[in-house]
Amino acid sequence: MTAEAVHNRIAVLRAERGVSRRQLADALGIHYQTVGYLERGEYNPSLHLALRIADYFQVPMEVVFSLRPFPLLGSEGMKR
Amino acid sequence: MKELSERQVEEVKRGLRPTWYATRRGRRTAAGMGVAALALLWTSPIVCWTVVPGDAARWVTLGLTAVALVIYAIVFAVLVAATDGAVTRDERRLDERQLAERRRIDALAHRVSGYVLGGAALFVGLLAATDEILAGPSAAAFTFLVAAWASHKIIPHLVACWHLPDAPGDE
Repeated sequence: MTAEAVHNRIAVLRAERGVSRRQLADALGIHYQTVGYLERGEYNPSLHLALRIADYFQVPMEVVFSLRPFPLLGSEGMKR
Repeated sequence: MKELSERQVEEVKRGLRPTWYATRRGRRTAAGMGVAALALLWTSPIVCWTVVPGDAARWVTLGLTAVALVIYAIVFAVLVAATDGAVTRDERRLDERQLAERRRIDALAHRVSGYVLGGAALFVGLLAATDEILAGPSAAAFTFLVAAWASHKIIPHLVACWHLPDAPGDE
């Protein structure tokens, strides 16, 4: 994890939509290992790449990225 | 450097055991071998200096260089496999993470090269302090410059080999 932690839900969104790392990487024009580094939180994307990732999944940026850890599915934080 | 195709990278991978390029321990062992290869190249000017140029110095120098090249070829193959060929790729063909990683490694290698060349300059300076005019065989000067050039080219690869994190899998 990098010092300036940015949490993301790329892996969740990818699994939900049945997209492989290679497919996502090809769509974004990046190396498939970069997707892995992003998912592991070992690389924070540039604003441009972050916007393209959100655009790929057709969701707002804050659905994919957050400065705070995302609540686990079914946890209190998910209930509104 | 000519960029390797995916097929060529796969061939390089097939020629190596995965423990060499897919584990930090393997890559760091390769980096250590690379340092040894570089040390052999730095031995050449010392040999040329201490053994008066002639057949003996020539063959020792050529032998050391040949061994260093073979070792370095293995180290470079490990690096090609570990980076999926990105090490041979032009900057314009790297994504933003790969580019950031290359620049970080180049900056670190620049610092290491500075120490190596500074150390070599200090060593020669100390030798020069004992004589008014430093006289030595021209072959020593030539091999010294070759070792300095090789250090400049090789150290970024050794730093990369040492620092690369384990790559995430395909899925």
